[in-house]
Amino acid sequence: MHENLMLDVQSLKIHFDVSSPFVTRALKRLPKAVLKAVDGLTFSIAKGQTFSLVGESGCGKSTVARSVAGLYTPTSGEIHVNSGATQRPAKREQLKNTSRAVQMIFQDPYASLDPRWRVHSIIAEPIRAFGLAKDEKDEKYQVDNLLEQVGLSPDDGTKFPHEFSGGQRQRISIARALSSKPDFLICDEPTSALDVSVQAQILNLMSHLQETLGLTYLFISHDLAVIDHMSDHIGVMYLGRLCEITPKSELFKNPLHPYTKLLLETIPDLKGKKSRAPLEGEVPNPINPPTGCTFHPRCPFATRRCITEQPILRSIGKSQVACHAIE
Amino acid sequence: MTSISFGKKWASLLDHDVTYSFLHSPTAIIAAFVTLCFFILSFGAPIITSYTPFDPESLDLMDGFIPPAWSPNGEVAHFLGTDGQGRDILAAILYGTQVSLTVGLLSVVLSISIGIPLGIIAGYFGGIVDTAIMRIADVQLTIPPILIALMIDGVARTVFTHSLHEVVAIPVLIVSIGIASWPQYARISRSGAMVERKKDYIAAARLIQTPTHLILIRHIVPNVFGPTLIVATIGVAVAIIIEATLSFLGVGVPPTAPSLGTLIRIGNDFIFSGEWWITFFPAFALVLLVLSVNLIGDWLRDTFNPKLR
Amino acid sequence: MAVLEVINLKVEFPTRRGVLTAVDEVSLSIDAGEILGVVGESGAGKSLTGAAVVGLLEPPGEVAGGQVFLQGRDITHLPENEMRQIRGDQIGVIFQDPLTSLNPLYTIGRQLTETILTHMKLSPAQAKDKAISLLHEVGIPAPEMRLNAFPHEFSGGMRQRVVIALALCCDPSVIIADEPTTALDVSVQAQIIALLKKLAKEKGVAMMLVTHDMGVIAEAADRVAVMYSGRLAEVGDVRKVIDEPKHPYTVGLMGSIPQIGQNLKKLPNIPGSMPRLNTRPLGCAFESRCTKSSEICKTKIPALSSVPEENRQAACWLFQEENEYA
Repeated sequence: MHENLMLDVQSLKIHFDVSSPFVTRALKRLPKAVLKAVDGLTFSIAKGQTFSLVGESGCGKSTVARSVAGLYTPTSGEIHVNSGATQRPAKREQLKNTSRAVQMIFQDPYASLDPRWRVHSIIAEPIRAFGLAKDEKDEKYQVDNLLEQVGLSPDDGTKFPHEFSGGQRQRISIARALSSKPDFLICDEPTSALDVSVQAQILNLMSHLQETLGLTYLFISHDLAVIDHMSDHIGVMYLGRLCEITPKSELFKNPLHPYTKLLLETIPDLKGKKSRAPLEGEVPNPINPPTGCTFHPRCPFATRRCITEQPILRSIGKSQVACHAIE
Repeated sequence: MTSISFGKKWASLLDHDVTYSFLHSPTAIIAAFVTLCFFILSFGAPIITSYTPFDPESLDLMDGFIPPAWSPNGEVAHFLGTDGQGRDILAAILYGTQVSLTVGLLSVVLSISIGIPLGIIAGYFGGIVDTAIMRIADVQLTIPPILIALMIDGVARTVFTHSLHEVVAIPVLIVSIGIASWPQYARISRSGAMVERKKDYIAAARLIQTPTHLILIRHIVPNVFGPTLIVATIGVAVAIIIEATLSFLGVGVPPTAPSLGTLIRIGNDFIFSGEWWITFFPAFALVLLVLSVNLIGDWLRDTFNPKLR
Repeated sequence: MAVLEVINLKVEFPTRRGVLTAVDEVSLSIDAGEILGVVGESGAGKSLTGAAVVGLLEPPGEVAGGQVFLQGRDITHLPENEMRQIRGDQIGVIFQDPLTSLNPLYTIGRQLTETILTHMKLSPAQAKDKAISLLHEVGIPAPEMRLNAFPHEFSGGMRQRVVIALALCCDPSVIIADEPTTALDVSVQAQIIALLKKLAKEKGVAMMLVTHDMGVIAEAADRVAVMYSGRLAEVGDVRKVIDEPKHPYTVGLMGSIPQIGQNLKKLPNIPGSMPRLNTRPLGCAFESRCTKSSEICKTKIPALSSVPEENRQAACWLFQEENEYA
């Protein structure tokens, strides 16, 4: 793995067995049902950069985030974190090291903090887990610093999560994530549950932290405008596969994949689209995805080949695209 | 841990919504007061009354069957009357309540100690562990708690000699009622654990490689304990009734340490011969105690019901 | 004449710590065929405004002032049984989560015909035909067969269409839609927005679209009312409000929305946060975060008044003299 890479994902597959219980299946003669949440993902992130995964719900982006964090075990494929220092699936000893360097911020500010713990303890949990403080005084010093870094006050350490608003809770989450002095931060829709003006504050905070601390971000979102603001590179996902990987400058000027183009056209935009034909149909069930290219039922450019053959990512200009119609 | 001044903690407790709800609920205040009275009077019995109704040597048959103080032939010294053996009813109630409360509380503590750990293990791990624990709970739930307590108690009686049995009777009773009641607490903790384990703060704890047992103890238990405690309060009332029933049937506490149930049984023989007070007052005390504990449990449940807030 | 008119609506919540005013002197009007967007952040009071109009405020919330006129009729404090007749018949409601808006135990055909038969004098066969034509209108394929389907057999977008059909079934004159697209995927959102616009125009329904998503408003609404801390900040034509906002809050709000192709290092944002209901200041609620505030903003609440030379209203001292404050 290249020295410069923070994350290298190769052919990642994460399948969940969602079959009915054995007895039911035997009696009703049902087939095994496998949910292919992630079906062959390959991408990498250079140090200090922000890579975003964008897609609609059910496309698997959250699953990717959690596997990179180590919460799910890949069915197949490899995840290399931090110049190959750790790979997933990892051995116990390696895990402790990586988890200090890889932290995560979650989507729901109301479920990501233990309601029974005071804010100080919540932020200090990683510090204690990795033994990063010499004593209680040092711990308080670190926690207070973190609170200030995210725009809160040291007094807030004695309060409980329910005393804070959604935006403030996300700040606490960010402080917790930073407390182990990570290099790599996975952000799973960190602003989706927040109001737009609060979102702006949190995004600015995250950009600022990235600059001052030299962090690498894997950023997950369904909001293309937020993605445009935060990212260096963007991966568009659909039903567990990557359609397109492009640098930010290209995505909006020159989208290549039909799904990317249609996504861009369907998102409500402040400029107000005059009359556009919304994309028909809905995202299919990931347990029984369409054959070949999973997008072919909704694609205006679909050909015979798209029904039978799954496209693979190929470089076209500065981007990589997985589409038969483009070639 | 951060050190927060005691004053600040006290102030926030007084200001708490729960305190407010308590102070504005006459039922809760009265019920709590009555329960507290029972506690203080019964455990303070040696100070309050000079009678020792269960010490055979202090009894005098000549004091038997004295009616309550306000009846003709009543004596103020024996305010609620005496039974056939000359035992002062009031003192008997006080000592009897001691036993009832002890058995009731300790058996619930035992139930929770079994139920919560099993429940959160079943809820957190799911799969075959969950199935195994819950099927055992289900099987046990098909048998009425009284029967289970009877069974365990019956076994104890055959295992221990008579004199030894007198000593261990109360612990055995606590154990049997405790074991009879753990499934309900397991069920509540299990559903709580199933909800909490999906939340992101658990994922955050797993991310930093927190060992599973610590996740259970530090994160799951505190969040599951609240609803369990509410049911436990009513569980105390139920445990007291089970104990009273067993003692009434003669298979509960030994005669040397009678509880309210025993007293009711003793008095039962005399209802139709006119000495009504021997049964009535212990029965009334039991009803009052159980009702008060139940009302506190009701208030707790309503206060913590998020929909009603 | 406006189909729906709300005048100085006030919604209060008596709590143990005093009375909280969640909606404070809000006035709106919607004409037939018009879509009015009511936009604001969480806690601004927009959902409560919608709920108050339909008489669905959850206790202890109550309408403490103002009036609601439906086609000229005062429905503010109607008794519940009369309100129930109006709801479903003259006012249709679309809620945010289609999963919980439909009863999971009944087929959608039954839910539709039940609503139709409650409010209209039709035979069961006629009600069934009407249900089928409604489902067709909202774009559900093969409606005759779907009548016997249960809500969980539909996808999210289809379910929301069923909810819209339910709201429409008695040809209401007003529809209140509370975050109708928030729970849906982005590509489905566009379909639902298009559907709502089409229905408003074709049937002449007056629609109140409550949401926090300015993008949806930009697409769907004709006029927009921006709410802040229970009060109206600005009301006007949607394109004008978005492109040339007048009220400092609206200016800040529009600025903080990331736009594709913007290429900014830092998103402009409004420091601080919206005051909670129990900490509202004496004067203008936005004053502490406003870059253009002056002395009078601290002490006197600006009323919603017309901005000179524009078809716009803003509640801001920048656009009015003190003696205009009523």
